[in-house]
Amino acid sequence: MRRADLQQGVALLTALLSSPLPPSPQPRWHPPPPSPCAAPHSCRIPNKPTGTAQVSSPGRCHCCRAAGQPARFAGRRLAQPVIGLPVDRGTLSGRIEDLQGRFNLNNLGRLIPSLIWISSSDWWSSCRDRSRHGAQHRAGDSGLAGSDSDIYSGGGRRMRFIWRLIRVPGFQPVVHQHQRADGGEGDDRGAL
Amino acid sequence: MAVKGMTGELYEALRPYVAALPTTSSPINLNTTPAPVLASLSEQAGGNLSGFMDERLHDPLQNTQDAVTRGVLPKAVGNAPPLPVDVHTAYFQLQATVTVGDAQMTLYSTIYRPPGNAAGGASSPRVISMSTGTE
Repeated sequence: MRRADLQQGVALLTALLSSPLPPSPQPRWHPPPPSPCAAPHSCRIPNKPTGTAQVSSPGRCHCCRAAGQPARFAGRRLAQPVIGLPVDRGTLSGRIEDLQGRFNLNNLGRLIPSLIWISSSDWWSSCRDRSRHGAQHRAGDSGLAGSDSDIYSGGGRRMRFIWRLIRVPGFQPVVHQHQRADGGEGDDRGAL
Repeated sequence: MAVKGMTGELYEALRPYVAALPTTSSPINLNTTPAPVLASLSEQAGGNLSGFMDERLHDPLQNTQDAVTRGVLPKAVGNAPPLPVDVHTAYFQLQATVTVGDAQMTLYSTIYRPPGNAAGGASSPRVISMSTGTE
């Protein structure tokens, strides 16, 4: 493949796909409404590096453009995938994905405290039921777990000790042990 | 893949749900995030969320408060840290595949669309990074 061909093709595709991106903030990027498709099963082509037609999420039919049924965002055609666009001695395919629908690995420090808060709030709101039904207890907790102490009804407050994670749904003792083994908890009551 | 414990299988499973954006302040767009990510942000993972997944296609959220009103996100409690979520997107990925004969090459470009200013003006999207073959 000649490098000039590649550069020319990529430049063309970038222009085709990025220029229809809506300006921000109005109109905004929204997922397209589901479009009727004459052959929905043929649209379900798994993502492959070499693929052309793509389905990025359930219910979104990207091959509809080729079928003459363009998908729309709030009445506008925006950032439609390009499938097999003929160029000099070859073809171009492309699509645009929204990267802000994903977890940003460079932003986890800001996100994780919020997620832990949600999980622990869920536990706090039902702590008495969980105590009755045999929640996982840390050694030495038994006196508190069955009581009405507000230590276990801390809705609206930050979690103070890492060991309380063991009472959050889905948090397994083995994770706790790994955490301690890695020295992440210090005296076993380190502040979160 | 350089992270201890990461395998090819894990990477493939995670790939649709993670990105490495050149910023530490990129909220998640509730209107476009896939179901597993949305479920991790919401207390009400389950039937209601799948209803919202369908609903947002024709009636997207207008702002983050709308997400609370419609029951997608929990109400803020006490000093709970705010969830980094939004209904806008500034970062996109363009995947372009060029095929000439038997040769094929895929180029990944990260496109940044600056948010509009207070007066409603907007800047043009621009490519901020490119890579060949891998995301």
